[in-house]
Amino acid sequence: MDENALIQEAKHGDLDSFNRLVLAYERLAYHIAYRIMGEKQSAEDATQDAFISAYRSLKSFRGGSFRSWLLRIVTNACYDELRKRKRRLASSLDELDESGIGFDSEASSGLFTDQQRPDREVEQGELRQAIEDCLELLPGEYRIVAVLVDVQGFDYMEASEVIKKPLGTIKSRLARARSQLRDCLQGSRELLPGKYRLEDETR
Amino acid sequence: MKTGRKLPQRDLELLSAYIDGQLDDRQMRTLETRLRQEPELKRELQELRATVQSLRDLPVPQLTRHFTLTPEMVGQGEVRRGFPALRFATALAGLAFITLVGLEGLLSVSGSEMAARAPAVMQEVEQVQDVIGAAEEPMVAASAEEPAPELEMMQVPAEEQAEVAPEASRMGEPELPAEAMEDEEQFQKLTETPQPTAMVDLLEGDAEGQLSGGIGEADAGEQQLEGAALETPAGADAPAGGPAETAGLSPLRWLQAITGALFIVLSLLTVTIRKRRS
Repeated sequence: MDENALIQEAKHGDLDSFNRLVLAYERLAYHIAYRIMGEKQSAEDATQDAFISAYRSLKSFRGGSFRSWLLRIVTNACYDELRKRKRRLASSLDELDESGIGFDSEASSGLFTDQQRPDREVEQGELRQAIEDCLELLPGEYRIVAVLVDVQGFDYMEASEVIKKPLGTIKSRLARARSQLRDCLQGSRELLPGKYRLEDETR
Repeated sequence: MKTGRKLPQRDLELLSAYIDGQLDDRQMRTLETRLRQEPELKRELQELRATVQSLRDLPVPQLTRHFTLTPEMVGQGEVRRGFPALRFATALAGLAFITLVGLEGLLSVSGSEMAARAPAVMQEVEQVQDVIGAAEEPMVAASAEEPAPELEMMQVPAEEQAEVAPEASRMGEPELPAEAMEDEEQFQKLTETPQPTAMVDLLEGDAEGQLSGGIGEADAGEQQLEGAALETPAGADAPAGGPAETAGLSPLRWLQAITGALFIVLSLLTVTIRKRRS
């Protein structure tokens, strides 16, 4: 059965048809959520919420790219989760302020020194960890565009469909995201393989 | 986070779009000329390319579970849980409807049987009357010379009854004279009593009481029975419908209508839900 037929069946309440769509897209949806959220549990929650939300609002799908429509719901679920996280972080920081306990600004911003970074993460690869840390430091709207275009390899047009922003916004956000990531990764320059350390060679 | 060099945003966007092959021919030629002339811009491009490559090299996370939905997740669990109960209720309503229809059929058939048996009963009654008449002939002969006043009195109500009884039975209003009512009841007892011996007992009691006046009285009794016998079909319907039937739907019919309607509604609901689920 093709995708359109499954969508039509699912629109009429056929959960099995919808679940076949879920199986077709869950890997992509989870990958995007994982790169936006930065960790497994939040990514799983956001992905599951997105599929539930997609099933409930399936009647609002009027054709076009189902993939873009679905991934928009995924990115929105991630946005919501990030906002909640930001609120939780703000409130926990307030509590720390009120209790007079100091906090490490570097740790709270998501950056770890080599001493602070857990051994498990070191084992997973410092470079990859550095990239993931830098990605997580990007503002949400930049991060999503970077994940869609650079991590997933979407073209600008599809990224524009997913986040419902004009092409100009995609270009602008992507350029800023790359610039900020580049700056962040320069802080971990010693971790970068030679081919990435072009600055030294060209100076 | 390090801010790095402050390249104009426009140049950053050009470099970024150049990496992705998103520039048109004219923009590309212009940028490539600048890259040859501006080493700083070229270095920026190489760093951005390396950054993009590092993102593309990130491993794909392993999926540790599936995200397929269950009916409970999307609020279909209640319907699914309630479906067997709905199916059972549908079957129950159908069974109740069939039972009620069957009951009505049974009642009407037994009434018809009684009506069919009425002539045979009449014959038996006549035989019994003959027997009684033969036994009491001397008494009848004696009393025939002087007709008892009660005979005349009895004859009139009997004739009236023959006319009034069918009407009263149709109207369902027991406004007959007391004696006519008694006779009606007696006939109903006769028709409702299947055993001939019981009928004989009843008739003996009746004949000894009322028909002892003579042949004329016996004729009156016969008229009485004939009049009532004409109403036998109505009398047979009485258990099913009774007086209420003439005023509107009988309770049985009401029950049939309610269970029938309930069965139809539940069946439609069951079929709809099953269709949507399949």
